Amino acid sequence: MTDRTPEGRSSDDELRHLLDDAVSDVDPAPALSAIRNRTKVTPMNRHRSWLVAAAAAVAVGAATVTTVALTGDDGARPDRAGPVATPDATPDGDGNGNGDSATTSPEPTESGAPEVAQAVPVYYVGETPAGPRLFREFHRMTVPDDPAATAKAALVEALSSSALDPDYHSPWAGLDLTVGLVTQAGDTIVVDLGGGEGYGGSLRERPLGMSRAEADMAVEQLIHTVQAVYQEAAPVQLLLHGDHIDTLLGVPVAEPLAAGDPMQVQGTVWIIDPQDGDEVTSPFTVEGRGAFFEANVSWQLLDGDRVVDEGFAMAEECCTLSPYSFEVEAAPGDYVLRVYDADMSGGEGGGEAEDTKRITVR
Amino acid sequence: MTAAGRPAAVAAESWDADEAVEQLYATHYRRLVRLSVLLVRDVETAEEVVQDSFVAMHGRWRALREPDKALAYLRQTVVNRSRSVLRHRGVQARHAPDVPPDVPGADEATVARERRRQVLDALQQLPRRQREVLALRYYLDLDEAGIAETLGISRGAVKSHAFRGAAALRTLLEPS
Repeated sequence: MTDRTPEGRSSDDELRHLLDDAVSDVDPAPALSAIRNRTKVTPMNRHRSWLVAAAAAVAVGAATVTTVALTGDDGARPDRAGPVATPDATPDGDGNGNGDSATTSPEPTESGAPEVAQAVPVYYVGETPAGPRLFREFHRMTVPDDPAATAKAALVEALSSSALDPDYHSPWAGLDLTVGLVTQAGDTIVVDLGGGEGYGGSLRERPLGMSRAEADMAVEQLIHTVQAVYQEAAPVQLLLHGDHIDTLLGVPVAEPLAAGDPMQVQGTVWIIDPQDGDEVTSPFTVEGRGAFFEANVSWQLLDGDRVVDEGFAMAEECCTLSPYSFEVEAAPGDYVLRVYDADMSGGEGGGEAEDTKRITVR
Repeated sequence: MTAAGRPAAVAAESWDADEAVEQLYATHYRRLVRLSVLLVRDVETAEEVVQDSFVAMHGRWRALREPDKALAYLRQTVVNRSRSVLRHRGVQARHAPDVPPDVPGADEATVARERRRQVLDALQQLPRRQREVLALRYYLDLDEAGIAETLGISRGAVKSHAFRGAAALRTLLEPS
């Protein structure tokens, strides 16, 4: 990378100059006061309003917070609902305790945020050659237009067995876990879980018959779903019945958790669009993301066992999770679309990573 | 080497979150916006991304405490948020002509503007990772380790993205 250009400048210098110059006329408008306004806790704060105030108390460990019934709050524990604890956050408590006394008494979501139909990201677990891994679907839901309420709705969906794709499941099925309040404390998203009464054992322990990997995925599923709704890689603190717990399903959860390395916890082949059960018109575009050997995306359109069509596409990058898309033409009918990472090892790899979707071409 | 090419000198141990925002804004705001422009192309979007990042940094100040860490956090947040903005913007906008094609005028300013536009356009055509690595390496002057840390990829990957990105950019900008 140090070869010389005709002008005698190293190509590194040349690139430095090019990029420097490319933005040399960018002079952003002054924004300090705009930023300051947003770092104060005021009811005007778009994403952070009262949630921060309430969450600050949770973070301090009062853990008695809870506040109001959220819309569709089937999982809430009414016995915990009560007056908002006064957050005795330290003066600079995550920088959000300024102006403190967290005066803003929380407003019920139903009055605060209008309900809107949106595509909400929900993670599920699917089996892959590498073991259980996460897959994401978008579910069309009508939920209050604020991230906390949406996250809660997404979690409820994730806990149920309502995946569109029959290849996916929720590891929480049968464990009777419910979702209480989702709040934000500084950069941490706090999720208060509840329930478990209908399940014989303790939610803190790994259930008999559940593998360690499955339990890990169960916790990852919650973190990923919450982060996807917030569209932030914010740490997620899980509470059970309002309390900090050391473990959930045997997985350590005392600290706020980051999502695991995508290559370790997510399915390495995802079809994002179309989703399972979708109707499309030919030709249609398939979009997804995955890690493919030599960026080589293999696909098939199946009618039962019969391969109606097949082809290849290139992912943007090789060997890491990276987007791909391709077009398919097909006569009207019901098909299974399969995208897979073709196994070049002659079978040593334990099978091909894949994702499949049932689709109807109209 | 910090993002702005100079260490934040002030004794910052005693900064609170508000002071941290103020200081880092004064020293790095413009540079971070420009970084984001290299990634997302659109200035307004870049401004939003960087403002959001400062707000996020403010919320995390207690964990960061040091200007260097705060700056690393800002850098990372700007890159990550620029990435998600791009993702949400989707295919349509990517292909929408953002600037009306300049009528080639003779004056120097027009030529310069046209050259900048070409470079930004070319960057947008690179795979995301290559664009990020080039911006961090050649605009922020980060070393391999710094880039690897910011992007959460290996140094080997940084090297190969830089190499391929530089080659691709050169090809795109070659007069045809």
